[in-house]
Amino acid sequence: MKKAFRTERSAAELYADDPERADALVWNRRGALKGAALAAMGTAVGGAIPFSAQMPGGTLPALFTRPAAAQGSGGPQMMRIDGKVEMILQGERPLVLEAPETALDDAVTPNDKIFVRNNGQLPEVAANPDAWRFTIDGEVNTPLTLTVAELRSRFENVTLQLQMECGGNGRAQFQPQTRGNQWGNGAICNAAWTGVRLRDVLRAAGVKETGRYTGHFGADPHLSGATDRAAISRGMPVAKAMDEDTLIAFAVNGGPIPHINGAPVRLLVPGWPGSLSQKWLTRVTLLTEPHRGQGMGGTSYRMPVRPIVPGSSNDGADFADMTSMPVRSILSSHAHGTRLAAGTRNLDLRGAAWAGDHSVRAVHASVDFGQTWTEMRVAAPANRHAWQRWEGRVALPSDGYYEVWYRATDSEGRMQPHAPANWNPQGYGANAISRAAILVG
Amino acid sequence: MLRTLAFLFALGGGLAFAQTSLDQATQPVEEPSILPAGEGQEEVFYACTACHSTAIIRRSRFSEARWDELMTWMTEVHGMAPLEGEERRLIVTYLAQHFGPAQTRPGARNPFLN
Repeated sequence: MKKAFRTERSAAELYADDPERADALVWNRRGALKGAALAAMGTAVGGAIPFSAQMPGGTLPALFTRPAAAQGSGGPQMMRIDGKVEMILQGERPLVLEAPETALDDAVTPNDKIFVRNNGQLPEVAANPDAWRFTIDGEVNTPLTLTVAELRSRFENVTLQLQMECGGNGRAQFQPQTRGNQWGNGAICNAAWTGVRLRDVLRAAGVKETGRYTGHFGADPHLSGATDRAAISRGMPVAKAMDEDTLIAFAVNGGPIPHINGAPVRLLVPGWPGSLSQKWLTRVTLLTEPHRGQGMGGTSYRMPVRPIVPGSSNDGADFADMTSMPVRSILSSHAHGTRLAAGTRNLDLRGAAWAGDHSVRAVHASVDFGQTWTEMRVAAPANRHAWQRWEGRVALPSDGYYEVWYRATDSEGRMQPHAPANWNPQGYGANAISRAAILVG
Repeated sequence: MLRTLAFLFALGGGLAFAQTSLDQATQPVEEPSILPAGEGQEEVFYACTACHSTAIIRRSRFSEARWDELMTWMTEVHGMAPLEGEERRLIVTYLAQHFGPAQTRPGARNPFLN
């Protein structure tokens, strides 16, 4: 008994550090689990493992790469600030908060569940939001400076459900670890944004033939307080700026935008890295060459064109700017680490899926480590660039330890991969199949 | 404040959740002791927290070469004052020693593993 206790304790510690080594040391296994080792691992996870025969060596430890949002100690650090539900704290300065997947259970994301990704310091709250001014200049015939009030009255107002996702969503999947916030899948929201189309404003300014790219500027000061550089200042090809779903937004979910999410006015560039959706917008400039602002060039928001060795050094000179985000799904009905009553034989799952500029064709779930997949029902998007809700039922043959694997397929036929593809130094584009651990009984 | 929150977590879920204001959240009170003790602890703390909190350091796991590269990157991309000579060596060595490569992300564990 004493020995067993010591084994479990050391297993927990070892696994926290290095699961593959722990796997070999603690269970002395290579390949599938058998006999006593399987029983021992079942004891360690607190239940039987019904699909153990399908678990190859290293499979179970892969689970440890995911923090359990439902857990108190040992899970990620949580924080609750004014105006937000309890979120996963990625960092305080700059303030970065991730929505737990189970917080994203609404079809339209409420303000208190919109993730926070700041790059700099928070700007002052605008005393008179309607008088906030921003400028359209550069390669245009008529530079414009508009107040928010003028924007609202002069151009057609539109309301759309739009996905906004951090370019680094899923980064924690990469091994070796990459620099930046170690996001799970929760740097995503699908709120109802109201604003005017950026293209309407650009047409009013008259984009010249030479205006091929945009550069975006906001009021948030650089983190260091330096005044000679922007916290973040990115840009995109003019075609994306002219997309009918790219908005200058002044309201969300029927009310003002929360200050921390970019009030009083911000860009909304759905389906592309969220850093393009400039908060506290002060200026959009039209350029002949790609913008060179903070967050452009090198390895920033750029992906290898020719895959590189994971963990290797690269200056990103040959990389390409990210455009449409890859297909991804979340499970919002059950937290990783959910414990269910003994005898539970069906799980009603639900979540959301999206695919950048594309749509989602299918979502599948598996509770046998990917051996068989059950097709879920996927709703149509509320509009182009909105996420899609999905739901469906999976059967559990017995009590014990399960993992719900969930996987979306986009309209081009591309599935979420089994492992994050195209490793890059700043960890973009990790959209591997996610796994939530469930214990029945 | 963060430490207070952590303490409340430790007490269990029965307590009402402490709410943090935006100012408190973005201006966390941190001290060098939030980083593991060792040679370079204070130097790392003060050099890094001039710009950002320690959360991103504590969640990072890089080799010495990658940490060293990161110093250059922060200077080139984020305007950090160049770190050179003995100070750079001290800081990079400390970071690689205490936040070196790992197989899993920090804080991750099987929720059912005792």
